[in-house]
Amino acid sequence: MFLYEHEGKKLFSEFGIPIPAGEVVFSAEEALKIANNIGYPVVVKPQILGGRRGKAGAIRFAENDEELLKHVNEIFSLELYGEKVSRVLIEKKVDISHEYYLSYMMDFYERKPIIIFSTEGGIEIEEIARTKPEALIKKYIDPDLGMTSFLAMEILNKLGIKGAEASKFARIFVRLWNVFKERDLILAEINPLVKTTNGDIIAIDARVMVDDNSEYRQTWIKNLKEARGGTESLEYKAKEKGISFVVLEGDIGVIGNGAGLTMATVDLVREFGGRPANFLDIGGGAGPERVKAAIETILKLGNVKVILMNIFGGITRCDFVAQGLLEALNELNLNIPLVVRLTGTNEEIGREMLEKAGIKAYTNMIEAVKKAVEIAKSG
Amino acid sequence: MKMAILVNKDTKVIVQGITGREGSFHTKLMLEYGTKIVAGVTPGKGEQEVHGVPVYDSIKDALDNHEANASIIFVPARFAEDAVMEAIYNELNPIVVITEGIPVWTTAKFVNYAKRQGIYIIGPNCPGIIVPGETKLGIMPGHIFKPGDVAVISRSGTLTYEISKILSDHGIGQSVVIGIGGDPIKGLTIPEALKLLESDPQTKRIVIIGEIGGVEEEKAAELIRKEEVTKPVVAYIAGKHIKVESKSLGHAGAIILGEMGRPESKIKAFGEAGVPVARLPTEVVEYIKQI
Repeated sequence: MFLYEHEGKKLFSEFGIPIPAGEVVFSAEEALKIANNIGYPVVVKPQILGGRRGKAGAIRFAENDEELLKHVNEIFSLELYGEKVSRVLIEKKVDISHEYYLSYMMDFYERKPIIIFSTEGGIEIEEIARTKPEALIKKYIDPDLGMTSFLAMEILNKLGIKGAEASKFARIFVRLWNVFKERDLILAEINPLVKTTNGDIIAIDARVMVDDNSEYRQTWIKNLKEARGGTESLEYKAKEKGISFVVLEGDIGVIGNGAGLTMATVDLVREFGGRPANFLDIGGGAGPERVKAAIETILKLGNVKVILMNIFGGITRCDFVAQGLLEALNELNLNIPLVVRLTGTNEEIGREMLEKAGIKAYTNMIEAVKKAVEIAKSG
Repeated sequence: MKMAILVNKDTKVIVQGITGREGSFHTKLMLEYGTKIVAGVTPGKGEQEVHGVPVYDSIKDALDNHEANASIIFVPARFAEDAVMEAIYNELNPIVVITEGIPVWTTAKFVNYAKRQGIYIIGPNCPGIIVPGETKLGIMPGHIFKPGDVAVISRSGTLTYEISKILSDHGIGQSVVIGIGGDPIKGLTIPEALKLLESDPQTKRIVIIGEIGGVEEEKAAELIRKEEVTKPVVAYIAGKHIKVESKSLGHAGAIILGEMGRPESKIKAFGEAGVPVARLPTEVVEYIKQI
């Protein structure tokens, strides 16, 4: 799960990493109050989970109430990378003397954490890697050793940062490592990390991804989700019910069991000229409740002409799946066609149950996909 | 000589988490398939029996009473670290971790420990491994597989069943089917599995079922291109039409992985290695037949 910038900064701050004074707001009135508390000039930053705000021209500066209101109102009306802006961070503007880049991430293939530091920051790190590779250091970290002061010094000295200034940076290297490791993060990125005209080192952005699987031992994740309240997406709500859901752009609702099979089903819809509306994996051993939640989730998309359900009953028996589907349909008022492909353990019983209820169940995946595409095109 | 990698009909298995719902259910199915399960372990539940299998509090206690060489783990995520470490410590090999939902920092820790000890971990969050007609350490439905000479390595569960069943229905059996799991950090990877299969006399042809995200398919293609793996390979990549961004790490990820992880990158890498990539899952069988 990605964190909003303000959530990430709060986390950093708890571990002693300096951040600018500021607060997140949800209205123009709140923005005025906060700006006057911390004092102008301020920065106005929309809080979104994806995309590049700087590129979209969505980060603004305000010297007084009038400018602030103008920017805040504009930003609240924005939609950036498909996300409607509902929260804005108001922060004290920092006088920057130089921008740096610092991140830790888990390299999945090497199964090790890696640090990336660059004496050039504020722009995309891919860009720095391409144009100024000499200003950048990548280094794998032995998790047993962690990021220590001496390792930090080695990296800093190599890039020409020395003495008292290097010590200031090293402290931040170690503290960011502590957040990264202790909070089960997969990514902790500060871009830019800045040196102010006073010589202070401050994190003026935070990009943080936490491992969803760690929630049982990272209780703050639950608090954070609760604090987010009703701003969550359909994807997120589905996840709470044990369903993996990704919105795509078409009109054929896709349900499958298992991520690989569901992805393959989405691909097949495309291969045969259809447009998948979503990816929805009900996971293993799904009962009636989950089947029902899956159909409800897809119906909320609004533009779906047909639902294609592709089930391979492995250990899960097909008659169980059929029963779940029938129970779900009994409770829902489904007014769009449903194409079902059901195969695997006890498939004859499962198909017969569905056929009695007027649902033709295919055994062949390709035929089912073709049928769904045909319905979507004629509807 | 008939053999397969990692496990065979003589592999003696300990089931960790045998008293849980999943552990007990799949112990029954594995026994029915012919897997030699010698003992189960659930701390605090020793002295019981599950489907006739004696249960112990620890692997040590189980090994004092039985000979065993491999483990399959069903314990819940929050207890998985201890269970996997216990299996490594007692030198069981391979260790199949079915458990899903283990944090990546934990997986990184036990996988690195296992590597130092020279022990293979399959998973976590995987369907396991089956040598058709001999043994299965996993949760896959045994009846869809047939003995043969095609090895299947897959990052998926149900899609593996789908493709294996298509192969079986066409009379093409499998030497071994390994579901390596869907987690970002895992034990056995596709390239590592390929290297093992290269020296397996039973395996003549290989199917790789990949997915978007990660770099395993690219690394596998590199091995084939460099002729470190010479057996013929057919690939399928799931998720060609799912945006990879949702799985990626954004900027920092991009700089380490570059364009890797995207479906185009995987298909291109396989293309350069001379590996045909099936457009449809059903096409895998056509390519396999041509070999």
